[in-house]
Amino acid sequence: MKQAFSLRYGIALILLSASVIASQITLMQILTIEQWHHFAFMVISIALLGFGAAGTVISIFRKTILKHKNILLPLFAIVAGFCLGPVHRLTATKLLAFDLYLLFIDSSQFWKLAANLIIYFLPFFFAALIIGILFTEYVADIGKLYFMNLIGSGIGALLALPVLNSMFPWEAKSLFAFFAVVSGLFFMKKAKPVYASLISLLALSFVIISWALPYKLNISQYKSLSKSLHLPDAAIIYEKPDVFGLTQVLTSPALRYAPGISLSFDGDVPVLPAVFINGDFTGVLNNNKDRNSHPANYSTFALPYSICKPDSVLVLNAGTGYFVDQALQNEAYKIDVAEPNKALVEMMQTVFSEESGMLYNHENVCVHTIDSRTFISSTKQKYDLIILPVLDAFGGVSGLYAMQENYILTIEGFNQMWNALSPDGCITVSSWLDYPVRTPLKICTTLIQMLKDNNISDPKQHIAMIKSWSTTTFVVTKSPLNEQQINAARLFCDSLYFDPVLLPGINYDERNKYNTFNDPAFFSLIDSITTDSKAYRQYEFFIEPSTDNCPYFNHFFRLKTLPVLRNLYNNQTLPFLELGYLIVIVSLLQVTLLSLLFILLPLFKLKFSGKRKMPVLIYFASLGLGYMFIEIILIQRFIIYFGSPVISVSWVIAAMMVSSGAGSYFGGKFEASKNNLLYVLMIILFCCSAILIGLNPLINASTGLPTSYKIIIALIVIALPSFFMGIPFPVALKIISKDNEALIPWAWGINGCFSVIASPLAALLAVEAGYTKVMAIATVAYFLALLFSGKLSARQLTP
Amino acid sequence: MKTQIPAILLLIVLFTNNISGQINPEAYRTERERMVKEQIANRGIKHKPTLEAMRNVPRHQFVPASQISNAYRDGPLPIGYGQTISQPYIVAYMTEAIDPKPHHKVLEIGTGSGYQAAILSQIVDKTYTIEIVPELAESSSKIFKKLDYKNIFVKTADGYYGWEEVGPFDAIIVTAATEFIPPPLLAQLKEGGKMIIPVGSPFMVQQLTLVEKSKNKISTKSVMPVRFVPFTRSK
Repeated sequence: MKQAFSLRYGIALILLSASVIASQITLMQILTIEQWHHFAFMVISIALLGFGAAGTVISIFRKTILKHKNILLPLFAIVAGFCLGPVHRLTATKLLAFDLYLLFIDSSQFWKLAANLIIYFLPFFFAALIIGILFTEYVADIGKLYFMNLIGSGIGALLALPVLNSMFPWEAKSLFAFFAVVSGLFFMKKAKPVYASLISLLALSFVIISWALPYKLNISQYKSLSKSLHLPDAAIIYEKPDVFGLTQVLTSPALRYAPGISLSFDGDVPVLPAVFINGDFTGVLNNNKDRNSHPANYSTFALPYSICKPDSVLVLNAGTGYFVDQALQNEAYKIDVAEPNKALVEMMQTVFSEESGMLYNHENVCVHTIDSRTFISSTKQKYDLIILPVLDAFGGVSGLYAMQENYILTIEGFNQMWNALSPDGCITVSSWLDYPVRTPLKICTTLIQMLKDNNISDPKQHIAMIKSWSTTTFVVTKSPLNEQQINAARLFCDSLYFDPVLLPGINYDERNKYNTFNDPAFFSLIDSITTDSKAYRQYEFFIEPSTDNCPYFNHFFRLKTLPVLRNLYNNQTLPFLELGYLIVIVSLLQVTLLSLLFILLPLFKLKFSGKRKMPVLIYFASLGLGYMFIEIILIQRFIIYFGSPVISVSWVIAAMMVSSGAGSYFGGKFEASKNNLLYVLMIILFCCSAILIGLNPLINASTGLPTSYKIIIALIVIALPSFFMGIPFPVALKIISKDNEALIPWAWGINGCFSVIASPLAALLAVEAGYTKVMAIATVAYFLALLFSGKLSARQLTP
Repeated sequence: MKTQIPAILLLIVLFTNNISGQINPEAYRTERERMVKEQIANRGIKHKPTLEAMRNVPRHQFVPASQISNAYRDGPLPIGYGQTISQPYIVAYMTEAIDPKPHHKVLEIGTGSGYQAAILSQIVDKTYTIEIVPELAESSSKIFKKLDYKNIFVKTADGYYGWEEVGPFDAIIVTAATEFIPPPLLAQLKEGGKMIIPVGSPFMVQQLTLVEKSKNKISTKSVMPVRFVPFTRSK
């Protein structure tokens, strides 16, 4: 006779589920600080495979595990907490400290990576074992259980926001690990006293070790913060945690900032405090009293001020305000600033207001703490000059940001900027000259496409492009460049040793006057792009303009040209051309191979034959893929809508989890029959089709609405399909349990594996084909689930 | 058993030698010859003093103990502190690009491992090198002393100011990529002098920028060791 699922277990499950999701978000931030975002992506993918592995282990050792569940449940919970807490600290020890940048250089890094992956995998594996045991043992209450699991996950996602705003991520990690330990104490009621004492002792030692051991981050030596800390007398003078990332301010008498300054500049480059977010250089705090000597006025970035005198300026993703300061120096009267990082803006307005020259408190400056694209979409203002941040980092960033979405550099983003220009206004964008040249070429293709979209018949009359030895700057004007502006650009170049690259009526000898670019292909390619919009297709790198559907400006890699690139660069160099992309491919391969193993292993016990196995495999795999694809699509779509990726991620996850949990709960009250399952899946298919067709127009039409309306719209769009998407999983588990209970953990593991595969797969599909195709595949996945839903069991069931 | 003892002793000697990096310098001569032939001369470096210096300087002495077996590999290697010892070809290319002469005084910004300074010291009269990380400055100084390179002068300081007391210089080599060229360095470059700067991430094939000062005007030239011209225009 099976025991009934108790409230005590319910609370434990909610706590554990909250711990899992909140820890996942926190570990992502820690890994982003230590290495880079896509390494975090890879590690977390492997870690979440713990769910697939747990399904495998329970499938194989089901009877033994269920027999000892009273002791195993609390033990696993406390071990999960231990692995998240004290054990995780091993990753920063000299023996295991891993550096992503050295992965293709130093073979010992592979072993360190493997050890790190195991350490990250363990807590999720043990937490998943608990959830798997509960699902298997209390399948009759699966609706309620799944509800609590999802509610807990939703709470975890919501809780991570305020906690990460007020605690350092390593402190938050200990807190969430403690949640897992506490859940273990809730599970302990039925354990024998001797075991209970041992487990309590373990829990107590966790608290003591976590409190006593100082946390040490293992930041890559190639991150800009690590390098700056080697400067003489370098000191971190300010640290603040935030969901946007860890903000740190560093000072050193050797820290100077004058990016791309002219070789004719003979002044002193000032020593300034530098700001780092998640270990990456973000900008400097400039308390420059003598505004005329600001380095920006001696770089190519000053081109727009040589050809126009803007009154109103909009600075996008302004960071610490390098270009805001420059606009003030050039006597702009009204400067709007869009910077989504609220903590950074607040820091500059309060703690470092003096050090930053009261920049963000200036009467002519209005700061909007909102995503730049969201600001452009909703503003009614017209600007004389719109300034984008400098693209790429000096010398390139080795493709580390290839998989990062950027919505201000899409065609749609530029079109909105164009519409926000005054009749004589202009947009300026600069980049470092990378090698091989990619970024300036992609800017050029994007600007040409934008001009064509806006019915400009001769785009060349609207573009000025200049270069120095290290940077290039584009200015695109709403009205054709006139003779006076062209001459002013030439004078500007002559005075600072810069060369024009694109100007109406340019003499080709001008292009190499001061800075000889000895690859003629660069100029021929630029010329081709300005005359033939499809010329970029012949280039070995992907320089086609990015779109909202495929917003990866920094993705330049073409799979089909891999052999050519291998001939040009050796195998050691090649990974650094597009490291971010490569990491996602490696992640996908890793999780797919491991998933295959986790899915096949139980079949040696459950046997490969049997009518129900293939339908179960396809059904649960489809649900895993479909659910995650839709979650990813909704997160992406709501980034611009809410103006913040962090808010979009946490709200979408929380709303989906809670709605699906509610769906699961109500679904459990109805008859678990094939017909009911079929109806629910048909409703989901309808919702998928509605999202596929209607989501983009809805978002575009309502972006300008007040936030309260937008929240209501978003909740409807997220909650309605999610409610129904929460039903098919528990109902199907219930259906298969009557035929063969041993299939439950296997089916649950399959779902877990494919949920994990879905993340890197969706990212790669989005890069190669766009989000619309990802949504289409999600719809196909649910269609497959519908097709196979009737073959899960031979019986009709009642609750 | 008796026959095994010498073999074991030999293994121990070899093993400990490998750990300390104190191998007979001649043992790597063949590897250096191959490196110069295959990685450098075959790729178009013709400057004889540079080729000779690359043959003579024991690169394996400038890499961390864990990287000795990779010392003559065709690529950069990590040396700690977020820095690298450049690919042999890049070192040769940068050296050739500044056209060093026996009477020259050269300044290097960023000593790092010390390998580039060692190569220059074989060709020019005096090599001045500045390193901002004290640990790297100290370790390279020890290697210079050990190898008896007497015409290399090391200073632990901020490279921004150059080395005014001993300037101006016939050539300046900036070994680490930099977002701007410090004005004091340009001021310390002699009329007709050359400065070379790498551009790019540490482990990539790097583009180089050659800065020339002539008649008080400064011009630059991007020089690419590996030419990348993949674009073919449609006819």
